[in-house]
Amino acid sequence: MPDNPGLTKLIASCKKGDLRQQELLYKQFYGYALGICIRYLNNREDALEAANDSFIKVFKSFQSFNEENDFKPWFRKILVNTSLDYKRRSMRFSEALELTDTIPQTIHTSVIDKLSAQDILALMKHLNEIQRTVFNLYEIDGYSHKEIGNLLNIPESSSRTYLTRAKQALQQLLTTHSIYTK
Amino acid sequence: MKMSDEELVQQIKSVFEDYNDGLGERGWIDLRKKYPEKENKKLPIWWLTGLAASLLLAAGLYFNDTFDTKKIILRANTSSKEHFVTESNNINTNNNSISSSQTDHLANRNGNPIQKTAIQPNKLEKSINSTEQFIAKNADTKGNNPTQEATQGISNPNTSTNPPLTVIENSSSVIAMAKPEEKTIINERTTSGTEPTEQNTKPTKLSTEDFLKQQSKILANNTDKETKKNSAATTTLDVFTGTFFNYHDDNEAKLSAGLGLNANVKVTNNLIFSFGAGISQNKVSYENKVPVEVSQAMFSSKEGTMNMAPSNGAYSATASNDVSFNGRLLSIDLPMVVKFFPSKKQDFYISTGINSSSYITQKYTYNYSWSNFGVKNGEAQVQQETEESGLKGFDFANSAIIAIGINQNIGKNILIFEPYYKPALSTMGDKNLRISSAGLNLKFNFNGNQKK
Repeated sequence: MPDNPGLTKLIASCKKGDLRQQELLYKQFYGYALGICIRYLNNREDALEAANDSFIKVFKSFQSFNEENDFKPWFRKILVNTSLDYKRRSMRFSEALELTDTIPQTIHTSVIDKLSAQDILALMKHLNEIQRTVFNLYEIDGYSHKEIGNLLNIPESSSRTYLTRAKQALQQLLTTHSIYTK
Repeated sequence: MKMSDEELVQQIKSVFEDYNDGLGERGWIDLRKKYPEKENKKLPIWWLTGLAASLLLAAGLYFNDTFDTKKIILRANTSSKEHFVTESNNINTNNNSISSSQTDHLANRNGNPIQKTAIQPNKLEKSINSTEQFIAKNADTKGNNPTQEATQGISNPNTSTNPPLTVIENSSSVIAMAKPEEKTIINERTTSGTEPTEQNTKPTKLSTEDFLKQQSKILANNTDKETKKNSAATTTLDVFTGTFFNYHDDNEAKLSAGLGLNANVKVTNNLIFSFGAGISQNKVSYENKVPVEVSQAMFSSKEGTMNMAPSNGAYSATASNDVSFNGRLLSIDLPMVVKFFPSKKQDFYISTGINSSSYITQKYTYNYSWSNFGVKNGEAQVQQETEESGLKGFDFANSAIIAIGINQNIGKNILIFEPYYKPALSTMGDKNLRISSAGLNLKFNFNGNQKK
């Protein structure tokens, strides 16, 4: 589905290399880009670098973008891939929590509603890299397990396992969080 | 998924949908450090092609004029002028008049109308008795209308749009001055507008071929300095071929080659401006130390496939430690240099300038190893990608040129040995390769031995 006329016009100007229009686009999508990158990289500096690199890729490869399509999903894929590239460069997967025996618990809705970005990031930090990545890819960014398998070069079944563990870990962490916040 | 999971996901989505920390302005400044505006650097290929073609055409036309046609036209002009003066004088003798309407006079005399010509009166003032004989002879041999024939010979050069050689061909015979005429020519030039003081007294009838030969000899022996100056070539042409090494930092140097054409335009006695066009192959290889700009270019070239479809993670290897890269560019080079001859003998020169390039073909091959979540023990897999493109791109002043030329005379021409160094000023091609080169050009300079 194409974007609104204003955005379509802005994209057309950016395609021509108009730097002012590129700046406008940057500022319009800065929050969106940073929000995605920070979920994967978990710190602002890396996220900003990944977001900026993504914008540069967008500006350089705008010609390949079909204006018949929506800009946001296309940009999201660039952001996710760039973030994953950053992650691969450091490639330090912490042997963090291995929560295999967590007891499923129900967390009160009001606790979830009150979670701020910082809270969520803090929670995510407790997941290991691959769990967090799979959780983000599957639950937030809508990738299928097959796509995640291809993207991370892991079997589909592993993707499912990592997702389950990520959720269990989050539940446990939220329970703890809710105890502290009560 | 449980309700709380769904709620958590929704909460994460809404919180991060627009995670604006209010530092967008700073972020843009950061981005601009990596993303400078470059739109003026790459010129459209048609512009470059046009420029190259114009240069070659201009050089070709100039040399065509300088070395072949120009001298002949000069001679022919001079000859026809003399021819014209002589014949005009001859005709005029019958009338003993100096008026500009002398052709009318001739027409009346023969009873036939003659086309009026724009003969300048001052060139017709002198009458020479001996020319009567010429007219009489013509009348005898060519028919009843000698003046008409002669007038044709006169009128053609005066219309000035016809090539002088036509005049010579049109007339069945021409009158050429023998030795004394040489003096007449010099006098005409040096006194500019005043009458010739000496005239030959024995005109001889020559064939066109003989006449041209004689005129060539006269001009060749002419000691007039001005004439010499005009005939000396101020521009020469080089054909060159070169072999050179491309290198970058401590990567392995690659042997490459090229050939081309240069025009040398004399600016002062010891300064020459040289420009031209050539084709060269540039090869470069990066092992392990891939420059940042190259790896960035590799990223950007892959975006279409990398980001639009699920990736297999191969591009993680764009980190600089696990990549090797080979580039081969076939380029059109446009060098522009200034040559300085320090010595009067002009047996060597020092030159400096810039080189710009466009690319006929570009081929890039990169090998990279990658590891990711699925690979155990950090074991890496090796992949190879090749990219090729056709005629495109223009990099202005991508390298500087510093060279020394050593001249070796070969007859009228010069063989030049030119060792050179071309440090990179900016990047080349789609992948921003920074290539410096050093090598030896072998140049053959046509008509180069006219330097004095």
